Amino acid sequence: MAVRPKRIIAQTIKELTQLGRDRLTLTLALGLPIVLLLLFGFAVSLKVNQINIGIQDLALIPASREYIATFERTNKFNIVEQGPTVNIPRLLDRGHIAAGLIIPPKFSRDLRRTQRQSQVQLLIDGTDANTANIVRGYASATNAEFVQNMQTVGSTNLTNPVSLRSRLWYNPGLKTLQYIGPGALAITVALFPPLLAGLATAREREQSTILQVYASSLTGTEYLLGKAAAFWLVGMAEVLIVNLEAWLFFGIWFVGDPTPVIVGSILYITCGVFWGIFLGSNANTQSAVIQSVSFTAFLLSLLLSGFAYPVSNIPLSIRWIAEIIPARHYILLTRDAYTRGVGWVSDWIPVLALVVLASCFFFLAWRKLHKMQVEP
Amino acid sequence: MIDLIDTILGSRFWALFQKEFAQILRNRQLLIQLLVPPTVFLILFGMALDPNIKNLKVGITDYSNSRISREFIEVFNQTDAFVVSKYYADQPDMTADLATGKLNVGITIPPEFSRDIARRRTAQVQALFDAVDANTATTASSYVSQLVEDYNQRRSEQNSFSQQYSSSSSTIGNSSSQQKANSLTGNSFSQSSQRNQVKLVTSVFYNPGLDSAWFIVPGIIGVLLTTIGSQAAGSLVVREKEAGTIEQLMMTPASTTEVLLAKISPLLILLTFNMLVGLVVGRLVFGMPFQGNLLLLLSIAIIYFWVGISIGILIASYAKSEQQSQLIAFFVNPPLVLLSGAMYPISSMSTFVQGLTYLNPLRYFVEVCRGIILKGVGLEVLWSQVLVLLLFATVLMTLSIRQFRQQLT
Repeated sequence: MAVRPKRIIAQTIKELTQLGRDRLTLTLALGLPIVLLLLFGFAVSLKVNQINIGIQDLALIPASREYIATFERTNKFNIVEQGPTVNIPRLLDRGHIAAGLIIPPKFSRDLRRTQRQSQVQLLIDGTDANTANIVRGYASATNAEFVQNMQTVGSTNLTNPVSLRSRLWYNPGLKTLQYIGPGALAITVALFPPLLAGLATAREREQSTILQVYASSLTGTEYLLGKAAAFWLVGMAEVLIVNLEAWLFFGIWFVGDPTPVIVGSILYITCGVFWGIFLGSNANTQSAVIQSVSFTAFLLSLLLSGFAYPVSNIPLSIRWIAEIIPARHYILLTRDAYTRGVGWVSDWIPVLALVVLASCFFFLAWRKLHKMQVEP
Repeated sequence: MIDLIDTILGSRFWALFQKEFAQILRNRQLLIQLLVPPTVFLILFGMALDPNIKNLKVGITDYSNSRISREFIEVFNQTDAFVVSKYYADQPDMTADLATGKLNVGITIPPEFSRDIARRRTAQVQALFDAVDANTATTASSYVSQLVEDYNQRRSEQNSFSQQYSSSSSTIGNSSSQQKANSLTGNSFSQSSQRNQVKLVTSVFYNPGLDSAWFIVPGIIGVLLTTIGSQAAGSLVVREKEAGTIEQLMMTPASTTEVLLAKISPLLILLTFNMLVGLVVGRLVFGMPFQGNLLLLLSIAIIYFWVGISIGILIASYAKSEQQSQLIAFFVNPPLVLLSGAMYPISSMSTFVQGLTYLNPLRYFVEVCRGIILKGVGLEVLWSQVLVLLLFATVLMTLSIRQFRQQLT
């Protein structure tokens, strides 16, 4: 299989000219990533900020007010309604609150007696399991704090056997954008390189211009590389644009050696382009390409790449799907480049994975196209 | 009554409806596209999208290396949020692994740990968290402090301190089996019988097992119906435009509204069927209950389908070809999906973005789905959402019909 660079370049120029004429697609290709990045950066988060709670205080004594104040002081709870007549189950049904506290009338009596325990009831909306878990954790911590405050008032020698010193590394301010931003970079550029490449390949078949290519002296490999190079360039332009945008809007920039993520981007876009050509060469219509690309390249990357939902929670039986998604490996690189800054020591594995995936996708597309003749 | 049926069967609408229905049934690709991906994606995402924190890798450098320190390390085995993955002889080795992401948490126990404990002085333990993922780090650090609190309490009870406080939690982490076991009765927390105790009795409503699939599945149903509805409607209309047959349709005595209504009705039937498939999958694969009224859900769903389909027609009226309409849909659908709370909770978004979600019809439909499916509430709670959906449906429908008409003339 001889590869003649001149022919590849000619192919590339032809594809780019054709793309330049299709104004709508070109605008979408360069404009959509900009919109998507902002959307991902600001809308995607699993963090629990302000928990809306309702409190039905049936005791109405200083102690119960102190108990409520403890919740207020944490700055994590936002008390929507409080008082003796608040109907907690109703508020939960309506979704106005994420949790409700019920302080019983005998709260103060039980609190004063030894051998007795006051009970406070916490009702949590479990529809969102993650939020519910976090709410439960915060509430029990707040409860513990109240108890501790009550006891330290009267007592003296309170020593904890173990005290814990926690340090949060790499992102001490716990900013979500530091985590979501680099991931969003990977997802926003996942869509268009395969989509454009797939559409161009399928268009040749749909309009039968592929027959002219077959009749020419162009080889399958040259045809494949020429097409890939054109959309690879578009993809790299997208990478540049979204990186600039992320710097402007999210304020994220390389913290360490940028070479792994640069090499990674080159490979990542290559993966996307070859995958698109593979899908395009198998589809009969352009709309079938759009469907298959939006599901395999976009939706799967968005949800199974570890962008927001951790990959380690995917059941083992289907985790291999995540492993063959290029975005899953590329996200590791962008996160390292923008937040951790370790460099090649930890980055060579994802880079290697991208090399393997790119070669696999190249082979798949090549096998489909190398014959260069009309199939029965 | 018979008259009524006769007028319906004899009407132009009925004839067009039959034509459209036959056309859809003949269109294999569209049928497959309407029925297969929703099922696959429901199962896939229901299984895979789990935000809970499980199996975080803990590394331990134990300089004390005593019976007491090993007993302390045991606390990490009490929950399936953590897995002790490796022991280190030196802290720098551990921090190197933390840097490369092989560990999520690094614990260092100092040499004087056992001595301090024995002398009843406060021993210090250091915990390092990889905070690249801020959300996981916050939750992990609160779990670790709860574990240490628990340990302290047990330790103090053994030492029989006179004054002690009680930690109120015994179930830490997301051990779903544990949660399932005591979910209905609320969690009973460990306690000691002393003064000034407050016990927090927790009961989890609507999803007692805290199964995240129950959150995801109703959301994904809404998402799939939006994307599929708008794409299918768009491509049906555009295809007629591309083939040039739309002029023929316009030549018939049928009005534009009748033509569009006839185009939409078969889709409505298919989408309703789609929704039922989604509910059955949720039930069979994830054991998701159906608490509310099925008829109510279906009728609200039909209102919502009008919204989705109108969006599709609106897009189609601007597009010249099928792939153009699909490309424009890429601009419209991601914001609808991301700002709906279907996959990422709205309460986690910033205030400004939360405001934007009120403009999103899918937000209201997802609320309706969760309300009826999981909470079992009815119109008395959901009337406002239904009103908003009705408003969206009317406005978008009018707009799309007008736009479509303008395109033709």
